[in-house]
Amino acid sequence: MGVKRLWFYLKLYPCLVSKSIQGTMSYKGDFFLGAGASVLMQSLGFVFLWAVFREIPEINGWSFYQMVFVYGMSAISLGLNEFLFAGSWNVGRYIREGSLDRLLLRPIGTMFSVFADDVGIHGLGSVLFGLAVCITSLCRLQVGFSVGKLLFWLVAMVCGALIFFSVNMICAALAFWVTDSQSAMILFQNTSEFCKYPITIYGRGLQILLTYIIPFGFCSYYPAGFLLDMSSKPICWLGPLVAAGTALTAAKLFWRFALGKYQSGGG
Amino acid sequence: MVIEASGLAKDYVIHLKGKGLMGMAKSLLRSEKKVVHAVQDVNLNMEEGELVGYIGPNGAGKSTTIKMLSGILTPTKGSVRVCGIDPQKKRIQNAMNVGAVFGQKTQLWWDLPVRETFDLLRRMYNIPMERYKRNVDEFMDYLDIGAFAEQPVRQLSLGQRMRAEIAASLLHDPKVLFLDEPTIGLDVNVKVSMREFVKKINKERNVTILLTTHDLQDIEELAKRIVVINHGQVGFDGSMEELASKYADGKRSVSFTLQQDVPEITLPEKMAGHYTIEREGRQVKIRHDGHVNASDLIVALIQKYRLKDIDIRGPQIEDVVMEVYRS
Repeated sequence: MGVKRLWFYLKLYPCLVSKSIQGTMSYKGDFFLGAGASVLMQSLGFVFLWAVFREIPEINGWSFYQMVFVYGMSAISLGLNEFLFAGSWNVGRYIREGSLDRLLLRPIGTMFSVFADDVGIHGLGSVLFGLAVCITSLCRLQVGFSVGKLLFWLVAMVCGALIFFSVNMICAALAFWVTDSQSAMILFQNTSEFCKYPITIYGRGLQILLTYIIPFGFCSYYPAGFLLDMSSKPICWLGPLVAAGTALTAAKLFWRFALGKYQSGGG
Repeated sequence: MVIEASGLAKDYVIHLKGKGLMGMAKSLLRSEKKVVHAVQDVNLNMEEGELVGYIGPNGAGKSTTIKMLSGILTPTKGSVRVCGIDPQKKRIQNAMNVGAVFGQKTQLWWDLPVRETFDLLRRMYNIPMERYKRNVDEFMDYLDIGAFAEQPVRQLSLGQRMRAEIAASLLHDPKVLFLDEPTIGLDVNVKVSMREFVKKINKERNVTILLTTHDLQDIEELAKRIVVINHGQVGFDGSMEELASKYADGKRSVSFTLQQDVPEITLPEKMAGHYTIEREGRQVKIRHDGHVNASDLIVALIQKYRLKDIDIRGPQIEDVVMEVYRS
């Protein structure tokens, strides 16, 4: 994709999303309830973390506030994914109702159409919560922070969101065969729970899974290690970019393959 | 050629579900498949500026063909070129060249007012502002959209929505327009204005149009060329006149009432074998084929008999089409 085309999409995105928000805002109660629920969910997980650390001060060389940072990063990435890419949850419905036709007629990428057609405002609740938690942790840990690191942090969080999105899209595309792929999406959504903690606390198999197969480790654990000066290995600072790029490419290829199987509906 | 489709085929795979709980459990393990040949071996070529009526009974494969031409569905077999482009391989490029209206499904944004929808399309298709304004003004004026342009699409009546749909499909000046049952469910007034608009677009902008419809009046008024599809195959491709002469035998008739009792009606020798007479007292109906001219027939009758309430009927398109669908 050329720079011109990317710019075109970047300009189009806010237009499409603002139209979709116009629709969402008309259900204001729903919006606040959703945002509240997502903050509450994250907080509950956080209380759990805090309860564990009252008993054990350190796990696998990770202190409480370092764990908190990982937790916060995962909340931000997940929240961004929820906020930007909520449309992927609609894929099954598009296919069942045959309304994917409408998206296929537009002169823009279908994956873009899918995620720009909806916005999960309540994901912002997660993002705000994650930011608060991360900043608290950074203050406590007194880690040296620079502009470069701040930029890396931003990029890493966007990469994290893209990784979640890619995995979500691959699961969503299963709907071309099974007509309802939400259960697969929920399964992988639950896998994302693992990246709330440093993946070194899990067994080797799970670590490999979260690094090379479903690369959720790059949404929080690896970049956090770099940001907190715990590791300077390339896997920590280059890993998120490579993982996001690979995941997105895989999702794109799979999506294209799946589109060829589309049967539309009626006559 | 603007549209070139050859040997086009599309199969649908349907997974059959067993009946009842046991059947459902069984189909989970081993689902039975059924292949439906929605379109098989369709050849369709259209020149620039042509307006073709694409007709056929429900489930004949009309929409499936259009969906393959517009890049929505991937053909199982055969090749498609629209403006020289493969609609599947270069979907986005193809989308810039074509517009489509599906009578059964909306292309618009349900919650957005019509005017904002148009604006969103302008951005999507990168339409230059000047051209966009010219088109919007023209369409709004001609289709009388201004009256409801600020209302969200979900609040529009079907007639209003369809007018907005067709305008939306033409904003980016497509070279090809697919109209899939655009007049379905519309009242007579809206139908007439839709037809006028389609005619105008075809004529003034030289847009190539493929139109499917069940309303044969649409076809009579708009299409010079008709393609009939049945069971996924093209059964006829030609002009209205050819269609009529091929399938309209016995569909022409002259009816009248005799003013006096006549024992037997006789007609000139040269017409023999080309007509049948149905009679009930003084009420007479003569069915004839294309070899007999209705005016010659009437002249011959008037010379011999005194008639009144003469009613001449040409081939009715409904009858003709029914005949094609049956064959």
